[in-house]
Amino acid sequence: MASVTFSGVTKRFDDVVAVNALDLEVADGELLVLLGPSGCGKTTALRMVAGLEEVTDGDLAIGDLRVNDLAPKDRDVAMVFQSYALYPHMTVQRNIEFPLKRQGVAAAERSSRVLEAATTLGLDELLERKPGQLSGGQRQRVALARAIVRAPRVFLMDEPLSNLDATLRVQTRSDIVAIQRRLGTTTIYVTHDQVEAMTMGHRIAVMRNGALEQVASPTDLYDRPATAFVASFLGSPGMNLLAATGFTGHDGTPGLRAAGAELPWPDGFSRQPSGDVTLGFRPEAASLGSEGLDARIILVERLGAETHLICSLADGERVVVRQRDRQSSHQISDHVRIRIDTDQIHLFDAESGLRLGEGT
Amino acid sequence: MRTRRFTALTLTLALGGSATLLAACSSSGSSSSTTTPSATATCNATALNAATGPVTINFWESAARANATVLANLTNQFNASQTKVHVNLVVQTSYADTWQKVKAGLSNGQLPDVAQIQDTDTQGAIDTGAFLNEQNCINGFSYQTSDFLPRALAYWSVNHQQWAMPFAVSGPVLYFNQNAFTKAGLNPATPPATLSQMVADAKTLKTAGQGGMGLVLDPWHFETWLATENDLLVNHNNGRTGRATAVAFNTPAADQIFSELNQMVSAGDATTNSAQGAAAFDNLLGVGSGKYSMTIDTSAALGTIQSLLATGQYPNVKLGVAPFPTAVANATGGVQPGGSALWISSKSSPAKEAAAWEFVTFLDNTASQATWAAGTGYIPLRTSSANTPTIQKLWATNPQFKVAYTQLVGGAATYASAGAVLGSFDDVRTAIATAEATMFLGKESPSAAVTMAANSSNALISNYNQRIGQG
Amino acid sequence: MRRSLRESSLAYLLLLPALAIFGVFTFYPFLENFRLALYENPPFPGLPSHYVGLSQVGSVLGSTGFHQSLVSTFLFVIMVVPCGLLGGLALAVAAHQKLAGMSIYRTIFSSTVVSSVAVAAVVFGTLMDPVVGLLPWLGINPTPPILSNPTWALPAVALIAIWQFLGLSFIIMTAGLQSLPEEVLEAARLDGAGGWTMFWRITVPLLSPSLFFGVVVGTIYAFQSFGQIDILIGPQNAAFTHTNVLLYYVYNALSVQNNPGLAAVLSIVLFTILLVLTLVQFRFLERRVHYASD
Ligand SMILES: Nc1ncnc2c1ncn2[C@@H]1O[C@H](COP(=O)(O)OP(=O)(O)OP(=O)(O)O)[C@@H](O)[C@H]1O
Ligand SMILES: [Mg+2]
Repeated sequence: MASVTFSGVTKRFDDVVAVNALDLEVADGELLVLLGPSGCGKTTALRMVAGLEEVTDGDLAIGDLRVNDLAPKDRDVAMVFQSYALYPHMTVQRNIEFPLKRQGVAAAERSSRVLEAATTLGLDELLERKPGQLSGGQRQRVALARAIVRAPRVFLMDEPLSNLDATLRVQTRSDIVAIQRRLGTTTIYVTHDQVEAMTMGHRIAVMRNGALEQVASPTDLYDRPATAFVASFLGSPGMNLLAATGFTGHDGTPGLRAAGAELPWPDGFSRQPSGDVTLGFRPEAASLGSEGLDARIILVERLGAETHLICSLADGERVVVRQRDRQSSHQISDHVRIRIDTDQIHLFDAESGLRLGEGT
Repeated sequence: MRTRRFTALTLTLALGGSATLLAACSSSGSSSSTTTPSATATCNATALNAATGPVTINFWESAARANATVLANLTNQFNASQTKVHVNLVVQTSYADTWQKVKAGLSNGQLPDVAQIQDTDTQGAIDTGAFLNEQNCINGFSYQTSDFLPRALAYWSVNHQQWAMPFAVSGPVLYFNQNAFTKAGLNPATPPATLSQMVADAKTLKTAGQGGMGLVLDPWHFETWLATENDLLVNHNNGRTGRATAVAFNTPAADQIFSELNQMVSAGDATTNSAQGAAAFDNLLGVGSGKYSMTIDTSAALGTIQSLLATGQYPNVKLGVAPFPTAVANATGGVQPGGSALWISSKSSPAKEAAAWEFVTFLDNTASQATWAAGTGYIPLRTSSANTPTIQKLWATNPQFKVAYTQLVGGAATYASAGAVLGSFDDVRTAIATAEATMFLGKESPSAAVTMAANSSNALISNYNQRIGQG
Repeated sequence: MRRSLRESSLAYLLLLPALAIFGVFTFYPFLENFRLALYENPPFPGLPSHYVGLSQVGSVLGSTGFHQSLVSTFLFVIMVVPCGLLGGLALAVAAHQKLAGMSIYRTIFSSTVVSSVAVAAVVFGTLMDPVVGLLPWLGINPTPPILSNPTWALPAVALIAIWQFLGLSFIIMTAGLQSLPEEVLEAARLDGAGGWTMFWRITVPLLSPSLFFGVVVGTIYAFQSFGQIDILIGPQNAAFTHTNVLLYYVYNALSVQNNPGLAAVLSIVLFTILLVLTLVQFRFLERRVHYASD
């Protein structure tokens, strides 16, 4: 087992900067999820760890060893590809066995390890089949088995579940977590599915345009997003963000003005008396009432257990309100007033998008 | 992937199909009617005299370049000399082309009135049934042949019938580099007269650091060696008294010839080249350029070599020409000729046949033969031609041109020295060349190679005879 | 559901032109061929053919010429197909490198596809010429010379066929290499495969569809080459019987020997061989092919 450390790692393809000065440490035994929108550099970061892409700048270490110039096969990492990348001409048995053979493991040990890995993933019945004779889920398991059989220092997984249907995805997700927890192998798991990210990772690293936005545990990330981007990216739907301005009232108490309404300055954020800020609140922190922001409902999404009301504020900004009430009586075009729970307000700097510091 | 499979399968079927298509397409004409040789045909002056206006005939000639020019001049001369016959000269440039077109003409009817056809196709030309037995014309016109070299006539005489009149006749001769002989301590005045002397001289030359022998793989030379020792190539007197049904050369005499050639090649004293294709003249060029010191080839090439040397590019080559070295000393046979004769179509009208004969005898008259021989290097076929001032002057200044003539008038006139007539002669020659080549590779002993040549030749001959309905 | 009579007769009507063309140019000649095989032809047109039944088939199949032709054909195919494919693969692997100017090499390597057999034959004929040629200059100068040498002539014409096939083979292999699943190769690299293991255990099996396609196409190509033989060897050459491959035998029987009967028998044999070979290829060889689809 080993940690993985990115120190100022940059990857450039000609004029595209795919990964930009990434600083990130994946602890030994940790399952770290790399999350971010498409094209943000997740795959590139992962492939650099595997050695499939060269590092343009910075240092990449596995354990204490700088691996920038180490060949893929010498890094002792196993990767699970989105396309599974099984060897189509080999049986399941031989697919799983292949890395062991390359390592020169003796035949007897090979077959017992293959059987063990196959049994773990419920493949023991399928050992004689070729990949072409397997379902997508089964192929995915073979790819996992081929990775775990090596007992590598690091697992790298690039959206391994994205080709599976919803049910299978949920199940395999928990299988992967169970295996990872049991083996305790350091794992970097790339996804853009935030449910996967929230449920699987010890920590989540959110990337944007090749750079790291925030790395934190799932709850921290949700409760205390470090940037407006993370706030809006996490959660389904993401956090509502409104342009707001701070002011000082006649009585000297600080307040916030947003969408034509005035709110008291929330606790826990340093004051920004005259500056522009971004006001954030999650859909569940909003409710409809007799007072609050003036809005008009433009869409009602009934999801069964809950209902999302998509509303348009006076100045055209959109806000989503989540209602636990499945029988919500609200209709499109209804005029409503949105009340925000001030305890659940987040404030970000309007310029930088950074969360405002703690303070008075 | 499916498409690839399909493409591959389709290709297979298409290829198989196209081969069968190829075969099927050419079947036309194979069942059309046949004309038996006109043994009773008349060919005489009456037919020509009865014609109103000039009779136009087509002549397919097989000569190329300078020779073609000489022939064109002769044809113009003939057309200008009289008004009864007009000859259209059609240049086919090679024996192979003329013969190929004649064969095509057998099914499409496009046949010439006169054609210049090479010696190996004599039996074939007879068997097509499309040519007149010119003996009829000799008889019909009471044509005198006593002035002709007897062995030139004999070459186209089958069953005592003069099927065609000889025209462009040459013989194999020895070309050598006199300077190389001198340097190797050999006397250029006494070039090898026999095969074994030639083998010995090749060794001497090679040992002395001179070029060896350039040996062209031409079975014509093998046939000629047989002829010099009065041995037949095929049975029934070389096919001259009855259709040849088998080879006659599977003998110790042939083994000896093969063996001496093999000795020379395996010792590295001779370098071989193919008798056809791009390398066909490598032996001649080799002598001309001093690379080889000796070679055997047709006397018709003499003019070309002399003009090559006249360029002065190869100052260390002094050409010598000697008679074909005989297979044994005190040879009882003679050197057989080679070349082509003029054949008259039996498919045209009596007037055209007679007109054709007029033209053939013009090309074979004393003056024409002298012009032709002087202009091309072929052998003048009449004694009177040889005695013309043109030829006498040529021979006086350039005696090398006389070697082939002397060789043809000398020697015994026998069925052996008349050369062979047989069907699929070209294929038989190929079979002999293949056997020689196999021997040179060390894969067969000389006598096994002779047997191999004999067996393949027999198969070819009997297949031909069977197909002609004479099997 | 049953189609109405009207509908199906319209379908047949629309198919008619295609069927007619196919019938006239494919089915009829194909069947005619079997009839021709029963007739013995004279050496010259204009003379009568004789019905000889199956005896001609028997005598052709039993003849030395046919046996030699079969041997030459198979030797030729065995030389051309593997050498052509492996050569094409080697070139394709070399040109697969991501280097500047590679497209020039690709163009050069694939150019033999558009070269004419006549030009190729003349150029190679010159290279092999005993006096002015390059090969003799390099010391390869057997007696008799290469192109009239019963041992060397077949490899020599095969070399030209290989050279000509290289272009197509290169294109097939390049297409194959370019469509290799990148991630599978990367997975193998991570699993510790490199160099030869990578090539033989991963790349070649993944290329098996292309290799198989190449084998089928190459076999057919080899069976149908005879241009260089006609130009460089010809029926009068001492090495002729050793280079007389089946298709050339067919051609020669027709164009030189005026023997459609022989040609018909030979082309039926050729057709049968190709059919059986292709079926065998699809039946047995294709089992070892892995289509990395879906
Ligand atoms: N080989 C390459 N050459 C040039 N640009 C590349 C290459 N690979 C990736 N990029 C670019 O680098 C950036 C990051 O790509 P990357 O594949 O890492 O994104 P990602 O976060 O994995 O996205 P996704 O979620 O869509 O898979 C993108 O702009 C992409 O276009
Ligand atoms: Mg990606």
